[in-house]
Amino acid sequence: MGTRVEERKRVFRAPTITGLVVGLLGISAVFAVRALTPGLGKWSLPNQLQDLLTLSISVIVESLPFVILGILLSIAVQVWIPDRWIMRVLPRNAFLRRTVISFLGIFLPVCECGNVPLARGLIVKGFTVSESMTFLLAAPILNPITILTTGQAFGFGSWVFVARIVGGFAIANILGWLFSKHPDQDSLLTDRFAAECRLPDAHEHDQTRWQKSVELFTRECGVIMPAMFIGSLVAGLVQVAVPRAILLGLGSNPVWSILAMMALAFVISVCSTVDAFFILPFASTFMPGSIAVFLVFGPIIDIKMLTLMRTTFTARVLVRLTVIVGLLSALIGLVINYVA
Amino acid sequence: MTHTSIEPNRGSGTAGGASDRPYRRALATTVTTLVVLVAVFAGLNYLQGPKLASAQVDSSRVVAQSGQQLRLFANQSITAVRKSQVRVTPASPFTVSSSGDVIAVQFSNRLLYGTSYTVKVDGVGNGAQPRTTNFAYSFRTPAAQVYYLDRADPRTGGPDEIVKTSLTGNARTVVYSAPRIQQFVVFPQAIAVTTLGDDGTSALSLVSLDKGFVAKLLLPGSGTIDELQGANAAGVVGLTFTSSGPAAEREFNDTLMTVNLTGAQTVDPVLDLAGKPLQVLTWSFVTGSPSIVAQSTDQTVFLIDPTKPGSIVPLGQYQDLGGSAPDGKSIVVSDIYGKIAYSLSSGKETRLPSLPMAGATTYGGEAELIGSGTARVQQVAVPDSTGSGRYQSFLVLEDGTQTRMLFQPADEKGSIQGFSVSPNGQYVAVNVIPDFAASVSDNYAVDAQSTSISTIFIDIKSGTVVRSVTGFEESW
Repeated sequence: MGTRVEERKRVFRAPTITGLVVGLLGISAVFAVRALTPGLGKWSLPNQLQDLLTLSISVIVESLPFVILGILLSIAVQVWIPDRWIMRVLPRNAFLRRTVISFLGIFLPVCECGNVPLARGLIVKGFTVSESMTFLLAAPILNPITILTTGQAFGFGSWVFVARIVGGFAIANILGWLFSKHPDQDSLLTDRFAAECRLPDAHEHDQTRWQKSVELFTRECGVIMPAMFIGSLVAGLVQVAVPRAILLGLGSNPVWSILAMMALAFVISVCSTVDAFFILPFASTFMPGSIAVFLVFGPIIDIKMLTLMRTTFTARVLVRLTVIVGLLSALIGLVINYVA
Repeated sequence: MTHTSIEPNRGSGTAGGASDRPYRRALATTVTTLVVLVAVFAGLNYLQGPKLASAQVDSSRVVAQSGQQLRLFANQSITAVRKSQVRVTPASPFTVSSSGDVIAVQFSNRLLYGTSYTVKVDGVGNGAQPRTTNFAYSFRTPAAQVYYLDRADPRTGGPDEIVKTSLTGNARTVVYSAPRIQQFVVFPQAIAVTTLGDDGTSALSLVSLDKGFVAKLLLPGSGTIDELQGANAAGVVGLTFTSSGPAAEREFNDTLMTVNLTGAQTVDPVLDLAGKPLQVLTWSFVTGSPSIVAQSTDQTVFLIDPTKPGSIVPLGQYQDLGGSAPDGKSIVVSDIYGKIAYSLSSGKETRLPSLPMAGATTYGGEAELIGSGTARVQQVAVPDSTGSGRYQSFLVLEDGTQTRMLFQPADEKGSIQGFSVSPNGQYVAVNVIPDFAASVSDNYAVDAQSTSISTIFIDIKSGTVVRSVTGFEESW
């Protein structure tokens, strides 16, 4: 036991602390530079760089509360809620089990940023990777905040609302089913996270729950913070580099508008809890199917989410995930554009 | 850690010999199926033109006000739509504009009551797809509703009634009743009513149409009100006010005043060029606006915007002043030679000659323009063919080239007391006393009226009588 504890410390402590420091320093630096440079006169940053910082900060400000909330919920699930509570209520039939898992977001209402640490916690707790993935993909859409904001923005009986709810459920379950076919669920995870999951709890018997919670919080922050820092910077960079007018110019074409909205969702990385109101002004320019695509594709696949998910899943999994979610979202949008 | 899932667990790996062939097959099948479906629907979308997603029109307003819009919402942004692509049936003047996914068809005139309209837009495209489509949208306007005043017979007593009725049936609804109602005007939410007290002075009240609440408005002293009118869209009431007492001591004498119902609801005098309260012979609101045309006691006709202090423009001196055209762009005035259509924008005068009817000379009386030109409904007098020297009164439609009879009293005893044309020019209401010589007045101190007066509603296009009611003071 003593050897395993030492091994665990060696594996996790250094990268965790480094990650946490890099993440916190990076995020602080972005805020500091944005706040200080406008007062430097001719030494201030060029407009485009200031836009980049502003856009990155907006992604961070929007995501950070949900990331922290997600980490806290993840800790609650891992440390404070007994295994049997969650596992007992889930059906044994795989299809029904994933169906129920799709709706866990109703009780754990965080946006997609917070769902990544929570999904990691569920894997540690005993969910299979495909089940955790079902939760990760469904929860950003099938949660009360997102349902309410989407309904308020577009109407509870609108095509866009129905497409988002039904589409989010369908995409999560199709991908959950698909990845459940994989015989080696561990191989879907990054080596580091898989190793973390395989190792026994080092302090199972000699740590209090509070100590475990603090350690988990530090560890998750160390993993998630750098990803969020990098993801927000990339999201800001792409928004500055790609003129939004180009995307909007495609809005009147039933096919190109789908791709334009997918690209917009991918680039701006806005959270699912507020994206309905973000996209509402575009509803007069873009077709309803395109708007639905933005609201279905965005919460699952965007720059920030891919960066966050990369902490957990392999690049190959993320590529397949992106392709299938993209195809399913496009299909939903095209069907709506054709029928509505 | 506890694993209770029945699916393959983490860590089982493929080392145990489990094949990933089902996963790869499922992945390939899923991706292939999705690619095919996406391609099919992309093709269908490409070949499908724009569609009409929804439409928006206020069918009540299109008959009450000109300039109302029908908005057609396409399911996608569309290329600009030209007027030549749009047809309105039955025909009515319109303009077209389009932006984004919206086509706005603006009706220049009020539409007809109780009529089904169809708007078709041909060749709607979006520039990105090869196919164009045709939009068609139909809506029905509501039947005409009219309010009128039914005064109680003085011999039997009882309150006077303001009645709401339709021109398509016999149903009548009393919306307000009170003793000695003088005049009233109807607004969307309320009725402004003037009543006479026992001392012969007037009171001005607002009656809410839904709850029936009555609020009295404070007048600038004791006196009488006359010529009550309303600018519906602007929510402004206008009236003339005369203070009680001997003429030489009155503060106000036929003074034009307005009340802004959307503001403080105070009764304020309209000021003349010298900044003094304006005394008028007659006045009216310009259709569709709060602007006023008024004829002062020296016969000068003014155009006044009561919402802008000091905005008063003299138009010239005329013998008489009539109402404004349905589009609000011209008014009817008269000089010694007859009626004139006066353009408020250019000042141009167009004579309205009284055309012969069945070879007989006609003498034009009151006229109301019913379109943007000189077409009008006019009361005319025709000399008796027996050579008795008497004249008979008719109501005619003059379209500039010919005269068509709309109404004539049943016999020579009858008298046309007045008339008004519905705001959309579809109907004319004629106030008739069947036997003028034998009629009995209700003896009201202001606006006394015959107890036998009735109002007949006529469809101008067909000339048919559609409804007749006992009463007068119709308000459309």
